[in-house]
Amino acid sequence: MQKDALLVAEKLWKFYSRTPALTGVSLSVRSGEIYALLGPNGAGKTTLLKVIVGLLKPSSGIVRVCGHDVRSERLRALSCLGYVPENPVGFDYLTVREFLEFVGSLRGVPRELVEESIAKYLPMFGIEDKEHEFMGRLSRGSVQKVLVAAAFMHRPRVLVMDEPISGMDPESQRAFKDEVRSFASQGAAVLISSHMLDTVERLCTRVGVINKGSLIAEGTLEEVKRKAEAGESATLEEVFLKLVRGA
Amino acid sequence: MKRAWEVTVYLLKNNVNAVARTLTQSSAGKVALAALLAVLAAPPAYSILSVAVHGPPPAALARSWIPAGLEKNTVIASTSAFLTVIVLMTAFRGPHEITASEEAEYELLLSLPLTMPEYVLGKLGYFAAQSLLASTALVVAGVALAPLVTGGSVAKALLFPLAYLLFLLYAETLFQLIVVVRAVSGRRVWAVSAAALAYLAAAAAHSVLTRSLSPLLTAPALLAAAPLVHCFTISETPAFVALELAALLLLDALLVACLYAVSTRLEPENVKPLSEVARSLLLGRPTRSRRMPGSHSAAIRRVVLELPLLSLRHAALVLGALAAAAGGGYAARLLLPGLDASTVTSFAVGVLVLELTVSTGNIALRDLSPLWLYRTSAQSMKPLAASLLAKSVVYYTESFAVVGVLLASLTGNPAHLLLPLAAMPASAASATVALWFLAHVAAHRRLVRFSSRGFYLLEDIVATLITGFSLVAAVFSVTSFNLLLEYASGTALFKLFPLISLAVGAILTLIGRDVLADTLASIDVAG
Repeated sequence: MQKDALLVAEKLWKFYSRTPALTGVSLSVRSGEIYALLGPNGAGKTTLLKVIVGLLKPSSGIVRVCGHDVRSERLRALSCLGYVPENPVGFDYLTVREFLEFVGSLRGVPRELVEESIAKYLPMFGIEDKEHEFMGRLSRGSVQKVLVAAAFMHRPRVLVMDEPISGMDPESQRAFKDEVRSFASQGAAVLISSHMLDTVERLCTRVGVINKGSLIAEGTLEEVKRKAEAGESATLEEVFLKLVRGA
Repeated sequence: MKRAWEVTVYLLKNNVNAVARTLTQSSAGKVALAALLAVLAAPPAYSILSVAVHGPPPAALARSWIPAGLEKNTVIASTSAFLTVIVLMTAFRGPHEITASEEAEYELLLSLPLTMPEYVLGKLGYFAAQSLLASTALVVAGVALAPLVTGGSVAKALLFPLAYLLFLLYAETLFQLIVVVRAVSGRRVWAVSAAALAYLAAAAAHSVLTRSLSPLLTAPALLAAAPLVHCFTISETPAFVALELAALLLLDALLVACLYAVSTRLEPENVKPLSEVARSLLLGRPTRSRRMPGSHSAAIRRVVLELPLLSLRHAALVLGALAAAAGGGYAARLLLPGLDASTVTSFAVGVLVLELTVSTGNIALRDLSPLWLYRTSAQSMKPLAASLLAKSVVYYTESFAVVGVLLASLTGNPAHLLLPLAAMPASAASATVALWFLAHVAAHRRLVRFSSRGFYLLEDIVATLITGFSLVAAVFSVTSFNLLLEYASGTALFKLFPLISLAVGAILTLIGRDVLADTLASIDVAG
């Protein structure tokens, strides 16, 4: 594990009853890195992300965020983390503004920063006209944008996002990617789970492939290509399929 | 504690916003809100002002407000025992996880820097506020009634809302505490269940031996129930009630402190979204399909009607409820020989209607969610409407059967077993109305949403309308059946009554099927 990593997961095991969902997964994401977690459906990606943000308790292993154990120092760890869940869920009868204020107040974000974020992110994602709309009346993609805005609001040092752009329109996807790059360039560690391999190929600096609960390949795109014994010209999709089918 | 307060405030906002914002954002809404507040304030104001102007009502008039035979110590004891039994049942068979009203509570709130005690206390505040809001009418009625039955005590009228709030807080905190204890017990949850069962058995045995409600049942909630009842008595002074409330406040504070301490052992994994809990409850055991349904109506009937009703789990639940009703009726006959059958009937009908609201809610959750599938694949909505109605009528009939068994075992008169047949028209009408409303809610609210406490305020209003209609229909059925039983038992009319009811019920079901099918075929289906 790198010493300068902001996000460290060590030897994570997770069992649901007797079924293993994670089998000793270790990974780390350093400051400035954008790490893509890839894997087929049911491989353990969402379980891994939920363990990382403390929603699930690992059967064994440890997760450190900004140097804090996510279980024993939960508040400190989560204070420097922003999370976008897989399901675009919100509080149906809170307006977008009320929702962002709620998240801001729980995070202890100063009011000015909340206002600044509302003024920045709603137009960035093209939902400025939804500020006073109930979240339950938004489309799936719009809820996703609000959740991303909520995760960005406190300028976290670690971002963990599960399929963050799955419902977004192309313009918002581009704005999202630019903002993630900007976060990384300012020193944030970003972990993204996604099935959108084209996006991952262009956005991420490191890739991890998970299958059946194990991390089967990890490194820069070139390193993963070498491991998969795919040619230099192979796309990430070809590398992914080779790794997963050969696993 | 600031974060717990924020959780309470925003969860409450999420609950009331749909109605509150509509009312406060237009002039017509503001007028309606003002009118509603005036209607709510009028009875207490009239009652208090009339005491101030005309003096306290005469004792005889005050007594006339109290139903004959109602005695304060009996009310206190039975209220305490009821609360204790519910708490013990929760400890015995209650949930072993904290239920999050919606997925966002689990997926979002718990990934924020919020401690588990803060989350639990935030939810406790929300539950207490929601319960208080839901019982506004009760508080208004209590404040209006108190001066009339206490010989003009305005002080007691003003103490009643506080007594009610502290009682609610006591009950809510106790329930939360039990659920949290079960959640943190992990694999040792059996020990909590065993302890609760042992306590319940000891209390029941003591009650049978002494032929009265055991202090084991009454004592745990006595301090909470007494001031509530004393707000309506003459002999206890307002100062005494205030003292009781101070003691209750201390007890509440102690319970909240215990809840805080126990919640420190909770993990986010102990929290489950209600949708997940409901899904696992409804799933049951997978069964191997032997043959493919031959038509679209057979396919719908199989999924909507046969799979949930023709299961061992359903049979066990119904048989368990019938056995509990028979046992409860017999125990009441033994322990409380003076118990009035009509009091039990009122109580049973209340429980029945609440249970039915939950059952119809389950129907909506399970069967109306994939409405898009039926609308895009089935030629007619009649098979779906017929299956939905049939299932609801079965639930209603089973519930009436439970009440019939309870009354038969309490009174020793087996004629009460005919109640489910006699109540057929009410069952058919209630099922149609409930499903019609729920179909519209499903259409306008994307999906019928549930919280662990029922619905949002908007859906609460719909639920209240359904409950109100079902209650009126159920009371009408039970009362007319009881009248016949009392005055026309043995006559031809009494013998024909179940058959006539069955025929009327069948006609209403057929009409209801067509109305519901038209609704299901024409409403907008949102994602």
